[in-house]
Amino acid sequence: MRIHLENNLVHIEAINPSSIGIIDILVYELKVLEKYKPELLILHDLRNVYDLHGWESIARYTYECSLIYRQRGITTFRQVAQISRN
Amino acid sequence: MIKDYFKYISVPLIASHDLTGLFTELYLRNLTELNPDWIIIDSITPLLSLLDDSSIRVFFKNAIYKDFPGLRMNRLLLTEIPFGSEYVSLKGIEFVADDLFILKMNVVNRFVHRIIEICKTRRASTCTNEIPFSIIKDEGIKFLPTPIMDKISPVSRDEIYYSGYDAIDANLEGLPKGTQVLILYLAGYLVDPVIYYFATIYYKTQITHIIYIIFTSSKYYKEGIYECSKGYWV
Repeated sequence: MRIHLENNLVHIEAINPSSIGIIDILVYELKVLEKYKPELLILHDLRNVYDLHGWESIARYTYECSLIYRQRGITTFRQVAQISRN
Repeated sequence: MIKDYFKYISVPLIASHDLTGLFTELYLRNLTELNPDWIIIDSITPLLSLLDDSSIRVFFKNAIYKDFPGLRMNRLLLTEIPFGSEYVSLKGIEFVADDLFILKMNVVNRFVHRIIEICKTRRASTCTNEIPFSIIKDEGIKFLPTPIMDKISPVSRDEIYYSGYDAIDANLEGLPKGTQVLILYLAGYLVDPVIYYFATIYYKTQITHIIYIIFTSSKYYKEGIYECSKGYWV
């Protein structure tokens, strides 16, 4: 991983989910993927996005994005915090 | 370079019936002289407000939509939806159009939500009539189309990422390329090491290029990954 970091093969993009809409976030994601063409994508701290933009719309667009990423062969980790075990 | 592909023609604002003749003359003259692939009229709103239902249909059929021998072109007409309204009366001209799209901008949870509504389209069967899009600086309009399921191949096991750690590989049997993984954890649980861990174990394999999109401050993120790479959590 250190080699990855030193060779700029790890890119970190920070998005403030309270400043843009969900469509813009997803289009931004796609734009970043077009630019860097990664093999692994990690979406960190999605809880904020879910809370701000509503679970229903997120579920729909997450589903569509996961299809696009699978189609492109991009392995993706989505990480979401839950409030309770239920 | 792009300039050569465009010709911008300014037409006086059509405020009376007499000027429709001038518009038609300008339109036909440029059309025959330039033989363009596309004609874009921005906008037809003055015509819609000036002419009544029957005369506007005649005008559009005899001038704008008219086909001429030897000329094949697409015509794109734009009109505005009045503020506060959802739709605009097209006075029957949509009857002749092949495609009709409405660009909408809604506010959802105080965020701008842009969608294109496909009201009519010949040649194609459309299942989804609202397609979200975004406007990006220097790039223009970017759509977020729904993927067609037939074009998505199932995850193949031809290329599998192994972590190199027996406990994980024995349970997951490796991750095929293109796998979509959801990690849920209880709020308050220290998750950062976990996400670093997942990222770093797979670097050992064929993965060479990684992107993190984070919805939090990035200040310490890279440092965290770097520290993790020393094996603190692994």
